[in-house]
Amino acid sequence: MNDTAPALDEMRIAALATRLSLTPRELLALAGRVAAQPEAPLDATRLAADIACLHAAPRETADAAALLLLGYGAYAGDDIDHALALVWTHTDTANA
Amino acid sequence: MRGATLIVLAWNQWPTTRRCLDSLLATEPFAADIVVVDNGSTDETPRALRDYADRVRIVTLPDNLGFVRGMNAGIAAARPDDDVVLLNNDLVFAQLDWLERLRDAAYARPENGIIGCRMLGPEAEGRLYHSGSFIESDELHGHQVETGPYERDVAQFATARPVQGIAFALAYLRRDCLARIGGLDEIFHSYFEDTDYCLRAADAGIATVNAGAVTLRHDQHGSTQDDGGFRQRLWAASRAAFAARWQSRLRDERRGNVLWQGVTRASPAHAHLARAFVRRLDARGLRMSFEPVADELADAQDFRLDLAARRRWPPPGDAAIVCADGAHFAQARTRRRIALAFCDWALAPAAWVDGANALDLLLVPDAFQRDAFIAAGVRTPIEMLSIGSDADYCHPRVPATRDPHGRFTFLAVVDDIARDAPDLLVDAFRAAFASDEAVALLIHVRAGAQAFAIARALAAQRGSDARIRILADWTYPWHQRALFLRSGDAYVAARRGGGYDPFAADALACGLQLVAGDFGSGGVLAREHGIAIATRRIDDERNALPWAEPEFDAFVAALREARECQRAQRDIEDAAARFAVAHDIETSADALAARVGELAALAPPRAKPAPHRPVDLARAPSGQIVVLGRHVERRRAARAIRRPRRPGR
Repeated sequence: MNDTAPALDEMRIAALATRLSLTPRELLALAGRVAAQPEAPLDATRLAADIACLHAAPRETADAAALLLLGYGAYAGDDIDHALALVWTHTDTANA
Repeated sequence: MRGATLIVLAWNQWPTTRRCLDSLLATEPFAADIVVVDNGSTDETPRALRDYADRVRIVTLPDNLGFVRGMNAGIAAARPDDDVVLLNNDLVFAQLDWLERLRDAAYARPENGIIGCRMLGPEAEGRLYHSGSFIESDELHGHQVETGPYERDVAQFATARPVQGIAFALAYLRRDCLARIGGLDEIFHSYFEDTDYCLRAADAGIATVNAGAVTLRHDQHGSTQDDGGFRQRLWAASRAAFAARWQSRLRDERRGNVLWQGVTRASPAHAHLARAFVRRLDARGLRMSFEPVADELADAQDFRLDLAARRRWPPPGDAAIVCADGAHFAQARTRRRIALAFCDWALAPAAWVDGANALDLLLVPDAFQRDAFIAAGVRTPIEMLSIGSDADYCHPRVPATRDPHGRFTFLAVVDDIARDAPDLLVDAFRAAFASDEAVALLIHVRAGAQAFAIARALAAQRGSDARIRILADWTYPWHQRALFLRSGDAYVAARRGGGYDPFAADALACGLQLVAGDFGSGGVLAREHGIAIATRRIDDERNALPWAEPEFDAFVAALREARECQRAQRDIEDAAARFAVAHDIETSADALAARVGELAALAPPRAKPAPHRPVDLARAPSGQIVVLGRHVERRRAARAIRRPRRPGR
């Protein structure tokens, strides 16, 4: 089972977003893009390119941020009988 | 009994055809004549078919004439009095009595004329590819499962039910239907001919039925693969022909624009209602749109709900149905404003009252909810809409992943620690059963704001008691909810909150016992169909509104009572069937569609044509009499009528 995520410092996030000419939600989407390509070097050129992509696709960016905010990434999304098989052979899914 | 000519259409792909024929012949279909139409194959099919000539008749066409003309050639070659079964060569037969079951469905009602079946895809885990089809007028995409996507096979749609259409990968056509409608329309080459046929039959009062008792495997498109875009071109041409004939007609059958203002995620109960009703209202001719009232990415899991979310809402619209908590009542817009709502307390929150009083109609699931809104000062008309269970998905024959130790298992679902009282449940469970009793408790903590805190608290409370299992960190498709329910013997909804809980009715439809506090919507169900636990009134500490907590000793006694009432499978199935008939979501949808239509002054549904009756035919069916919905041979029927069984014999 995952621990509750630490509380976010809204002020710091807002400040960082402003520095990058982003809204806080766009910053979240940017973080998602960066995290999805951990092998690529993270430098000013890449950040600029990713930010340009976000600005070019505001609808998709808003959707991506909304998805991240839902928190459903913390859950396995799978067939329920797989969960039941785990539950009956382990203490519960959290410890499986 | 009328015989049947089984027509297998083949075009190249000999290994596919051979697999189909071998599995078909292995079922030894009774009173059947098998015809293989070779649609101009250029591979080894013509030569290889000769090895089957002692068991099948072969019709050889000079060229590939397409599905429609190929099947029509087979129909022309059929024995003249036979019913006809159209078969793709990419089917695999495993059920020995598949043909008898189709015949049973075909002759169960005189108006039945076209019978299909469940078809699974090739995936190892079992995916449902077909269970009766529908086509909607916006995009003219045919869908072969009621909800759209290929769901896991969870024994859904296992009964015979009328449908708009079926895929003619397998189609049992009664002879009197063929006599009236004729063969397939050759304006189609392949694709859409099946939906066209079913719609033309419906105009003649002939019903199309999906026989849920028959399941075959269908390697869809196995017969036309590797075609370099040929199939896509055929599809587009047939779609154009279908659109010219039917699209305006299908659009004109829409009776009004209705906006569902709800959610598809949280709360789960409201999301359940969106999935349950939007597609059903759409299927009943209301052009449904969907608008989320919360900031969410829609999680439709249903084609019609997804389509409704993509539709442009044409203001002013005819009616809006808000299905969310009362804080959203004021968002209702359009000429007629309806809410389908419930609350957890014996007194609806004061903040909801102004919004409720601006509605034209407030629908609630039961008398408890009605009284709660009236007590709060709601003056708008309140009516009860009984919300049934979906027996197509929730029934006792859904496969179950059970506790391998075979213990009697209690299930509970938790979203909110104050409302759902899982701590009380754990204490009552431990007090009810000694540590060596063969019982288990499975608590599903659903995704949501409190999930991790609840799971942590329950894990700490449980300690080392391995009888208590926690299912957390898991989301699963909505259509699989009966798999979860069927893993238990009793569903426990002993909550403080009295709101509508869809799992309670679904559990009863699955054959589980229901244990619930004698308060709220759960109490209404438990008093009649389950074990109701005495409660004491307390206040919700968060808002000082009254709800109720199960009395601890009564809770313990109720758990023991459920354990001791373990029932035989037959009793479970009988009870579930009775409940499902009395609490059918289709009936609920009929009532809701009718009420919306009435309130918004929509045109009535188009009158249905008179049901087809075989007696209408110029040539009477031979060799059979339809008695009480069953087909029997004339001689046997006469004997049965002359010598009725007497009571006591």
